Amino acid sequence: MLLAGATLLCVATAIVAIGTGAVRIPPAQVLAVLFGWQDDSLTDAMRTVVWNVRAPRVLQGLLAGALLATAGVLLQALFRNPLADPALIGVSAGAALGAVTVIVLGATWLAGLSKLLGVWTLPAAAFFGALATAALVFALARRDGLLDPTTMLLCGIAINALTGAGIGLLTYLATDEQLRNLTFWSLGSLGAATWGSLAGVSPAALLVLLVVPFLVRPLNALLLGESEAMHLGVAVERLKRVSVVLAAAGAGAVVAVCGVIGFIGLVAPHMARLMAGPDHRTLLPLAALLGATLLTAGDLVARTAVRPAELPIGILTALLGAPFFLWLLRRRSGGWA
Amino acid sequence: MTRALLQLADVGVRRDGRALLDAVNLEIAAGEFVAVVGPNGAGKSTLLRAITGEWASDGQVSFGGRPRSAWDREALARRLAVMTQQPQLNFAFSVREVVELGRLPHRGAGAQADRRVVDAVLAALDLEGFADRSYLRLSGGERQRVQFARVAAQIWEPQDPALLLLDEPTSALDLAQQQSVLGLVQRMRARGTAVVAVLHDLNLAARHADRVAMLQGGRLACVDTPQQALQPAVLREVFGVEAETLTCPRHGRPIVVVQGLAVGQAHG
Repeated sequence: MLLAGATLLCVATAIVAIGTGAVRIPPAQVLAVLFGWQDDSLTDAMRTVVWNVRAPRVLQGLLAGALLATAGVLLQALFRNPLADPALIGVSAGAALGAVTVIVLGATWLAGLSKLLGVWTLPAAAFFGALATAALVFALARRDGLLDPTTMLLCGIAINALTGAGIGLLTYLATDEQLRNLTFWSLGSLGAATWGSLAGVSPAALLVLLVVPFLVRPLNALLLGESEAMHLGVAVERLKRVSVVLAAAGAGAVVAVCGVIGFIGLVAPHMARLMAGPDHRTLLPLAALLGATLLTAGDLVARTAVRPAELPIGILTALLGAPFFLWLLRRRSGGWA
Repeated sequence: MTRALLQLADVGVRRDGRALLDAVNLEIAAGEFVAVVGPNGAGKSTLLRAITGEWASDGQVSFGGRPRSAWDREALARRLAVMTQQPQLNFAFSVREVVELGRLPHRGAGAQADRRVVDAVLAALDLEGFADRSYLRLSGGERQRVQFARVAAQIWEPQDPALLLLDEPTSALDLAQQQSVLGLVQRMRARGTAVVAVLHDLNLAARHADRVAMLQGGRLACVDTPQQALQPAVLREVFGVEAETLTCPRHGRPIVVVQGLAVGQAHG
């Protein structure tokens, strides 16, 4: 029921988002373009706007939102703490550092690497940046098999500062054109979405979509604790490794094409938990749908609120997400919801 | 002698260069209840971790006639359930959902069998009224009973004799709750389930255990019937207390009454 409702909401948001902008297109005509239906009122301009401009952007928003929410859920299960968000604990920043390194040094120091990986250089660098930071935070925050949430968040602060310094350093080396690119990376935007960039996210999305269904029951057990999960027959070490890789793949892919977008991985899973409880069988799909809806709706606001200019979506999500995070902290005494 | 369900041969655990457990030999038969007692730091929880393989150990641990390391994870989990001390669950699962997690190793059993087992365990522990309550809203004692229910659901109707490891399962329970949990343990024993329970309360150990395993500084000081193990001389040696051991007129089991610190013992 809940999932059907969330799917409906998600699809409706997407159709409205595709129809809204400088050229307003009613939902029926959006559908007509997308599915190739006959509709005499359609103009070529409409087709171009829907097909070449808005559809890839909205699809990328949907995918990115779903991936960020999924990465959030996975990290939260791994850390057994609902405050773990890819951006907050530094995973997105690590991905951004990887991406920025490739942008600035790709043509010079890392020329060999860029040649070898071609168009996948950027997503790959973002993925490894994300993976390295996730593994680092996990290793640092763990003592005697217990993860300390305070240490986890402090690690996030340190890593965000460190990658900030790294990105700052690289900006000194960057050319003017690279500089514009870097701003985009640190603030996050869906403005560069094309069918081509969409192809950059889809391998990660596919990987997550295929593997995550196998993890839902073991992840539930992991919430009890690592040794408790082990005693229930879960291969805990493997589960943790797979979860980290998937979360890094998801967050890394998003950063590679949209830059750092914070708090979706925190807000969407939290809303899903409030609606359906912590059982990953419903939580994962519901959080993904909500994340997709939130990011698409957020992007709609970002590109229409101050028309003809555009707000970077990362600023918008931080503006709404950070107070939400503070509210979560405040409420913590009553236990994690 | 029949073949033991659980066999420990020369089991030792070293961590950070310190021997936490040293040359422990122990055999436990199906349906038997062994209480593990000893002062803090004697290696009681370490013994449980060595049995489950959570911590690497020297020597040999065999379960059901096979080395534990040769077992498939899920097959082992269907016969070996562990209740750890104070699990940290930060998410708002309902009580029923927590107990259902105990059915994780029984993937082939089907939803109907799962529901039947969960219902039976909830009923046996008087937790039916709590089934839809959030775990996070429970008191410490209620949480401990729910965790016990989860562990019981894991090996509720074992096809072959199962083993239940309990690390201070009654530490947060009041007297009535202790009775309800240990009563259920007795019912599970009737199905051949062996129990190894770390207990702080020597009188609970004396009342329920077939044998008492007493640990001191990582070594097994003695393994014997409660009458033999809980004698004043042993308690003085292991716990550093002067105690009198009476015999309960109703069930003939020993009752330990501690009088004070043993002479020459300065306990921190």
